[in-house]
Amino acid sequence: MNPILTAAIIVVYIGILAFLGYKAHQQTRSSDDFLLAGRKVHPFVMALSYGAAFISTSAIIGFGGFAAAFGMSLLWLVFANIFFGIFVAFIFFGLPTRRLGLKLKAQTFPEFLGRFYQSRLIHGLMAFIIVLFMPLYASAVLIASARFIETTFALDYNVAILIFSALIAVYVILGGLKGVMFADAFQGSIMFAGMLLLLLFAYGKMGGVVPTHKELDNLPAKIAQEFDELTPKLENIRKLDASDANVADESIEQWTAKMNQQAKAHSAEEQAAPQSEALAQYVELRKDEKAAATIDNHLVVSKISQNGFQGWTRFPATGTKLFYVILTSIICGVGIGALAQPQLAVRFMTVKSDRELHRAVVMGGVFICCIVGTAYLVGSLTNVWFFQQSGRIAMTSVSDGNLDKIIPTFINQALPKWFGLLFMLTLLSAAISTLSSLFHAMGSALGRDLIECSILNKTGNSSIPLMKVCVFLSLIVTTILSFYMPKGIVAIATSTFMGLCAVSFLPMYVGALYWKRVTRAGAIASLVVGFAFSFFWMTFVQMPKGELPALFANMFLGKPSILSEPWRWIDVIVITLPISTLTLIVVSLLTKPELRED
Amino acid sequence: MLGLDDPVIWSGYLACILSTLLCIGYGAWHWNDNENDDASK
Repeated sequence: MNPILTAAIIVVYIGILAFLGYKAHQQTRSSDDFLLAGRKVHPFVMALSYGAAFISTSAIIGFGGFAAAFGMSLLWLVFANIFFGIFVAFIFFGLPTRRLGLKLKAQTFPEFLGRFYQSRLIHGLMAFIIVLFMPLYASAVLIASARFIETTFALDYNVAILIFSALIAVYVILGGLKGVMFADAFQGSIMFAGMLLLLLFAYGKMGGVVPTHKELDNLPAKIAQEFDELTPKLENIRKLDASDANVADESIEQWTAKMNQQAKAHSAEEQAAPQSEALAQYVELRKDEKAAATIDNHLVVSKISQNGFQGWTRFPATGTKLFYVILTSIICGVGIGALAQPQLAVRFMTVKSDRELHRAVVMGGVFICCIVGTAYLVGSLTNVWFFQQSGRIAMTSVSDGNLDKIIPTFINQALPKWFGLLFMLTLLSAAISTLSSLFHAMGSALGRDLIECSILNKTGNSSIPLMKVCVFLSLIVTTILSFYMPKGIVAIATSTFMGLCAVSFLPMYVGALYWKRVTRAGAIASLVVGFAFSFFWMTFVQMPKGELPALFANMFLGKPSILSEPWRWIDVIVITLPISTLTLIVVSLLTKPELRED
Repeated sequence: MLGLDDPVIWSGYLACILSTLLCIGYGAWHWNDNENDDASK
């Protein structure tokens, strides 16, 4: 890529963001402007802003890579994102939230529920959960974004984090939610164009929709067949290894995996001669690129098949680890988790009337379908392209099997250079738009909800300077956190925050919108039980996505989980959401009905 | 369907398209509906 052209495009991009921030700053006069963009946002801007805040870089790169590894079952997450994340969210949550929010004169999501239930405790607790846990999520997004900047522009990781934070600070602090939403709409447009072109390119490059799907469908059989053809050669080498008593008990896959490790250790030592004749011949065999690819592909596929993988065009086998992770963590957790996210729910209150929300549904649905649908489809289809080019599947085409590298590697190798630049802007936009929404939500939760409403008991309009200071503080905390967060925290922090929001806020949010018999006590009980039970589940049974042992179970009992499989693969939302919902219903029915204006 | 054999997968593909069409259809049908227009009153 021409570095001067790249730099020029980045400068123009940042210039446009700064201009939008300045325009929003000029139009921000009241706290309604700063917190709710003046409640007069255009439906197109609202829909794109909602979608761009919803979808971060990790959704495109991370989940795209996950789809490359585990296949098209993620299409059900696309469906959940469109149906629950847009249709249900806009129609069944957005419309009543806008009307009720206006009536209650609420300016933030915690204030909306706090005022509905006439409870400072609910207001304060929600703000406390947001202020405490949203920085984790935001720093996870910041880390993923900085890693992307680091690799794309060869910048130092720490410098990348600082540049990113400073850029976002300028337009969030200057322009409030107006600045965020204007910038989101601009960035959402870039994301839409980039992902639409990617989908067209990908299908075009690989020979069209049906032939590509068929080829992907046949890939596991091809991989198995190639390995079968290579097996006689491997068996001959294994015979030389017969001095090892264990060899006879091993399957050919186990033996090959062992030899792979020995070959890797040998190549690391460079000059040393192979320790055995078998290893020498195995190293020789791997010098043939085709044989090495066949071995690597087969080993990866047989490993993930043990967890339930049945092919990239098949849903994982029922009852396996992969089945539970995809169904509960990915489809239900991420799909339903989006419904009670404070930074998304507040956007329903930014439009003037129901008409804007009706119109925004059209753009929102198309936008999400295009962005996540492309990411997960192209992720799966990269296997066909990599296999056609090098005889390797996606996971064996990138170094260390790092799933996050699959989509960028595909873009760099398969698509024209100019598209690489557009895609870089797409990812930059996805990162900045999500982060700016989070900074704004954290700043308003701290300034408006926690300090003004809960501590100072102020009910009128907010002080804009205080909001700006709080946005800045949340930015500082997130930036500092991102320097200290452990490696591999991105997916865990994201799922933790989404899970906590869904189980703690969703039942009382639905109750406020649709159930007249709901009471303040029921809402408080549901919030406390949902939060406490999810904390228990995450620390004793399952860390989100089941990748690490549950913290306290590991610390106190020395085991990864207090429950056995399949429980430890089931996401916290699936278990805890019914419990917090039941708590809301039971406690509301047991307490005195409350009189509210209709 | 669409070159995909597993009904769970092709129905997922179809569900994505249908849910997008649902959003488009709903939005188009209610394009000018504006009940409870509190803000403009």
